[in-house]
Amino acid sequence: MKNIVLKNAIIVDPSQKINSKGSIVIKDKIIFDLILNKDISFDKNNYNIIDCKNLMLCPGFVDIKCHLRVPGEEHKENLSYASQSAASAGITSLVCMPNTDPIIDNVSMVELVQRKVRKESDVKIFSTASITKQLKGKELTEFGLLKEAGAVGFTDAIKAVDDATVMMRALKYASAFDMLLMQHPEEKSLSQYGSMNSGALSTKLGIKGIPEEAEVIQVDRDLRLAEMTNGRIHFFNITTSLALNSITIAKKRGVKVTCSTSPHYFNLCEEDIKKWRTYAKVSPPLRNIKNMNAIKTAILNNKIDCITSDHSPHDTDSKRLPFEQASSGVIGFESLLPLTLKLINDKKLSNKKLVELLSLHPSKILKLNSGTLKKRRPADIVLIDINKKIKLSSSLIKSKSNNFPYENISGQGKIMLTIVDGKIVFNDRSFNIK
Amino acid sequence: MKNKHILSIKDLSIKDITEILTKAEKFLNKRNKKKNSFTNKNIINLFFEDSTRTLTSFELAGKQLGASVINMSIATSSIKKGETLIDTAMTLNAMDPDILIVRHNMSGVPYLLSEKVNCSVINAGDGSNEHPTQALLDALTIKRHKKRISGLEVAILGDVLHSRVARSNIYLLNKLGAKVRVICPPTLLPPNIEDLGVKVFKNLEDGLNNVDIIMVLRIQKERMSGSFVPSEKEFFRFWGLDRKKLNNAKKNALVMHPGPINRGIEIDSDVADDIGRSLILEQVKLGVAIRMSIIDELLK
Repeated sequence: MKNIVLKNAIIVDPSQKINSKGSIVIKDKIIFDLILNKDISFDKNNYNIIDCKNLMLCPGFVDIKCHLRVPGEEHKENLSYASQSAASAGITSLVCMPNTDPIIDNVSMVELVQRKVRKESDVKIFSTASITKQLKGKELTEFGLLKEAGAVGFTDAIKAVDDATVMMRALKYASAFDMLLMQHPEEKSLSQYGSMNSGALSTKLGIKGIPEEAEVIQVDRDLRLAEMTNGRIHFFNITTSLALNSITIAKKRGVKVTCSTSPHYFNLCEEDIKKWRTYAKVSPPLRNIKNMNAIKTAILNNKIDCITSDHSPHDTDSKRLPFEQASSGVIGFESLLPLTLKLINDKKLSNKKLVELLSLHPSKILKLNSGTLKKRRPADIVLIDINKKIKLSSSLIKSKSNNFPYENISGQGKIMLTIVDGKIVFNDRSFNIK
Repeated sequence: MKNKHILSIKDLSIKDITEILTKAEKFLNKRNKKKNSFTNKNIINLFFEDSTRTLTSFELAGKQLGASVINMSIATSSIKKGETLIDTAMTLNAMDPDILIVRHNMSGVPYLLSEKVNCSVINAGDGSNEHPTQALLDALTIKRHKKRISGLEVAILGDVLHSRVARSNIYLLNKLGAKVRVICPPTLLPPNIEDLGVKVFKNLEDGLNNVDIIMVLRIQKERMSGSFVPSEKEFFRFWGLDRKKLNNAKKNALVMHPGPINRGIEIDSDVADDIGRSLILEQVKLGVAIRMSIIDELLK
């Protein structure tokens, strides 16, 4: 394969404070050179030259929360579909959740996922492992051996570790291996029987609600435990201003905490459930407009560190059920950029912010070797037509599942090219590459 | 020695400790000769917790000195019939023994008893508090092999949280001028242990750097199924002492363990059985001498 030159692009790389025109040379899977503000001619015989005029080039997106359903629920998603879907969305690294069947709570399961990734995926897929054996919230998994096997972090996925002593020990134990614990922000006893936000609407629909307090109570407890143990914690799917306030105050106190949210929490609200639409059932639930706006503001004010897709594929039969019985979650790869960029643009923020939220910060949070265009680092790159307005449609989905709540919602930004380890894994066909 | 009881290393002065160690060495030299100086003395071993080596060691020590030694078996005692701890102690006290040697799974029990009885009390291990005679015999072992204790780098490795051996050793080694560090999983690290004068390491390889003595602690199996440590396999991989990890310590570093050992969990057999490096059996041998020395001091 010839070396690739991406020429004449608008390069945005917050890790090096770069936001200017330039070219990138890719050689042997890595970023070989980064040339800014200069027009250099390259020999066509030695290089595949791609003219990126008016396109933004940045490090590939890093999605630290997605459900790939492998192993065990391959009827909902598999690594090959997920990889194509992610590549088309500009995501070069995925971090998958351990709530599979069997559960990823031991070394052989982490190795199984990695073996499958090597065979089936073009994008990088990293596995987490569960904090507790069988996700039961009682006994710790082998953090050290799991890290050696390749697990990048620990989480009980869609449920929080509810026993405070177990969580405290997990935080302490993880510190021996400098590993991050990631927690679902819902206090179990307050949330376990609910399936939407608690409020006037849940009353009208006759559905048991989950109060906002379920989120902040879990977050507050874990912040105290993290502070006490000097451990590192990340909260997924923050949906309320209550929890945000707690996290912001804790950060000021020096607690090692980061948090993320997902596009559904700043593009949808409980009203989108309309008449028991299960496609708008997610966990934690969609909140009211006030909270949705608080999440938007928090993203813009740097109170939320990164955005994840929370890609949660479900087959039709898991959604075509009474609301309270339906599975929670939406698919999220293809909508990640358009919905995030729309927010950035509406609020007139720079594209640097976009790259921080989708690439640099998630990389840093899990200490992955990505999120940057520094020389000698892996050539994980995405090229975006940043000004293109698009209409989201399930017809564009490459995931195996179709639980997509954004039909006909407008978004912004189109992925033109995605490169992983120097290899083109997605090309929207406007580039003719030999 | 002015002490009536041996309850804690904290109560002993450096002079007391030196006397105990010196006398123990003397006993070691003339072990074969039975002394009959204490034929009229009675010692009761009151062990509320299972023990082989400590119980046997105290019994032998007492008998070597000519005293009568009675082992109270809790399984068949009045405790099983519902008698309270204090009542049992008072009952035994009424029989006028000279020394009560107590082991209990609750911290502080020997103190409680010492306030109620007229005789001397020796703490043979109480909960997660102290095991002073173990620390004394460990000190003697180190002294005999390294010729000194002051200035040595000593690492205590393993389940520090639940270990009375660790606590007594930390007090004693600090008194004698050694530099003590503990190495353990963060879940087995007692809070604020630095305040006892130790350095803390979570990583075994780092922790062993420049160490003269490694005291490996026993870890109970039930603590390695996910509550404190995920598995025995993981414990051995990261905190179990094997040859390769031992190479991070000084070339002539020696290995100790209070026993009983869990092979392949906290220590590899290869290291435990290496007569050039392991002092484990030597510790047992010196245990009898230390206990003779202490009993002799108290009965004098």
